[in-house]
Amino acid sequence: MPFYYDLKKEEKDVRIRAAKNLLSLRKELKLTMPSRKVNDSIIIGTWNIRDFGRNRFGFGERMSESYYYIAEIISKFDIIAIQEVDKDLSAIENLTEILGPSWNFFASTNTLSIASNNTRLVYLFDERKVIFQNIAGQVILDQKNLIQEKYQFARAPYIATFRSGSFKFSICSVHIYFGISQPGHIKYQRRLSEIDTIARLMAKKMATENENIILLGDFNIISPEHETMDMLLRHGFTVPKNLLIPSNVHGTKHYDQIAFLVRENELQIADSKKSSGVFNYFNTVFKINDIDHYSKTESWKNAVKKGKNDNKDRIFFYKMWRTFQMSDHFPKWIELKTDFSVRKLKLLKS
Amino acid sequence: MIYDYIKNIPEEQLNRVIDNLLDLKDDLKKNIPRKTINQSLLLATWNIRDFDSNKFGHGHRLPESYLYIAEIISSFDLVAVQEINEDLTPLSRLIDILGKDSWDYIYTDMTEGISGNNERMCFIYDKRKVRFTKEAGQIVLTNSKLIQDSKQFARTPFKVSFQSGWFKFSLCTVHLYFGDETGVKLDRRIEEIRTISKVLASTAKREKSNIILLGDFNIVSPKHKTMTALLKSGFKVPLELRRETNMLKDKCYDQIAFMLRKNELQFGSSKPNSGVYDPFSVVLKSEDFQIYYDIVEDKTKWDELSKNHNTLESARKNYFEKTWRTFQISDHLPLWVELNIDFSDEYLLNLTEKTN
Repeated sequence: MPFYYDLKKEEKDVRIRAAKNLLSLRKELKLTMPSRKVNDSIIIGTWNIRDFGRNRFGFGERMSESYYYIAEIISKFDIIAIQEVDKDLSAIENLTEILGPSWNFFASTNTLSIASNNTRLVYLFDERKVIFQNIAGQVILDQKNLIQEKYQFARAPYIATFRSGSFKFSICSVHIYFGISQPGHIKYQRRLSEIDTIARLMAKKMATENENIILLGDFNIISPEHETMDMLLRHGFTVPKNLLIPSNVHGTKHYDQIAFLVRENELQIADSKKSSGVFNYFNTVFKINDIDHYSKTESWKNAVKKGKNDNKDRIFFYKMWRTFQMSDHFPKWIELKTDFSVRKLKLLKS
Repeated sequence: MIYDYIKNIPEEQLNRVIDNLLDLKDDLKKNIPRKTINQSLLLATWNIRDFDSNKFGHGHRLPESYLYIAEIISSFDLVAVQEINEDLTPLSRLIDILGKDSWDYIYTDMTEGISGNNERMCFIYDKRKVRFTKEAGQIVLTNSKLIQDSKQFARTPFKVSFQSGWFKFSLCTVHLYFGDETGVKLDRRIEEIRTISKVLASTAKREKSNIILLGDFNIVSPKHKTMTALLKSGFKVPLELRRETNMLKDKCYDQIAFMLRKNELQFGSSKPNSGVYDPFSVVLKSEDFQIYYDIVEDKTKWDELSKNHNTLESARKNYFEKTWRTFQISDHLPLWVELNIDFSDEYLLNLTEKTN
């Protein structure tokens, strides 16, 4: 339940459009995503929110209405790992403000390299449900583990430990190097090696510390059958069957993943039909037939001014432009049970 | 729930108590909606008999009874509780079992005087769902409003403001004078009911605020003049909530009555979205009397024969069923309602209509 109060301050046409869109977005979310419970379960998500907080590609700033749509979606999660957050945190601060006082976030240090694009990894969560367990850090490789014998991760993965109900877990969020998709190419090999390395190190952490590990984020994995996926799975991580679904806006790529390596009996997916999925927001906001509306906005005009041509194919341009308002990835979620009291009670019996 | 308290259960009782807890959890799950983080508020009222002074001499509560009571309360978000006694140790034990990280409570002092009965009133709430919004006070009457021209309430009603989701409201909980079934004492009861609803109705009107009046009114039935007294000032008791709430299920003592701003009384979408929860079909069941007879030390009251019960077994069973277990759990059952607390759609709809 985000705070819509500041929507009142928007100009009339923006306010009306945003309120209508939020209403249909809410309806769609209710149909698609599970409802949040106090005790029974946790809804964990991952979302690469394109270029969040800046305008690196010149497609125009995010409009204020877009923040409300993003907040509405995130309000259906208990915790979400976000990739591509700019080093300037004002966008994520604004988002957290709209979500309300029970929400909090923390962010990684942007890795100091060109390959990192200066982005951060962020955990955004509802403190009523998710208790941070005071451990957070980024993965730094020692000499013998370096990627292609010389690199750290392009963007150092971010680990943090949480508890929700009786379920304790560490999440490791990644935004794996993309490079180039041509097999054999050195930059493709670097991607493979990053996936392989983080999965291996996390599996080792699980083996030595016996903690529940959820490895998630944007892996730039092509498909479940692809070699990039093997790299993730070969060290023991599993991806629930229902989560083997594409998550880019074109519905063609399996970039984003949520993978598990957990203690026996502790991965319990909730019973509902809505217990996992990706949420496609373009059915309700920035719809194709809204194009005339949005082509009059400052953000659109600024993009055109910066040399982004909107004449040749307006629809193509619009489809690109809107990914900078929302994202080119859809959020992926899974609902896990967090109430182990029945099992615990049974164990207490003599 | 923090189950560490189970260590207080004697070892030979452990398996039985855990089985009871499992049955209770299961039964609660069947009868009460799940707690949601944003959509709904599960509000309840429960008179927990003489918690826990043993002033009637039927024995203090056993450790297992604390677990059952806590398990029931944990199914709700906010519970108005009556008959908390002077000694607060039992209450704080209950909160420890519920888990201090998530639960909080606020209570009154005891009203002086014989009819105050050394009782406090209390709200127990899940902090993840309910926020105390800083107003807490007891209702004291001015001279012109005194009950039977001379008395304050036997037990001063307790009014506290809360917020859950979008829903802002005050709860006023009461444990009204019982007195007698007829005569001047019944008149005093009726006048207490009429006075509290009148005072609060005028507050609600003046403040344009939401007030929910709940607790043990000693109302006999929906048709009785005790009920008329409650409804007279405009408080609404939805038909679904007009239920028998005592263990014997023949009296409508406990009530939840509403005086809300327009459109703000919205029941939740679960089925059912209100009810009376009866734990005695799963814990301290009638047929369990022998188990508890064996546990208790002082068996005098159990073994009192009477005209109606001339065998020991039937006397014990009767005492267990009608009396003893009501001092372990209660002689009242919790009455609950699920309310919608997410008004986002109304707010957004309103934004689409505003013309300036």
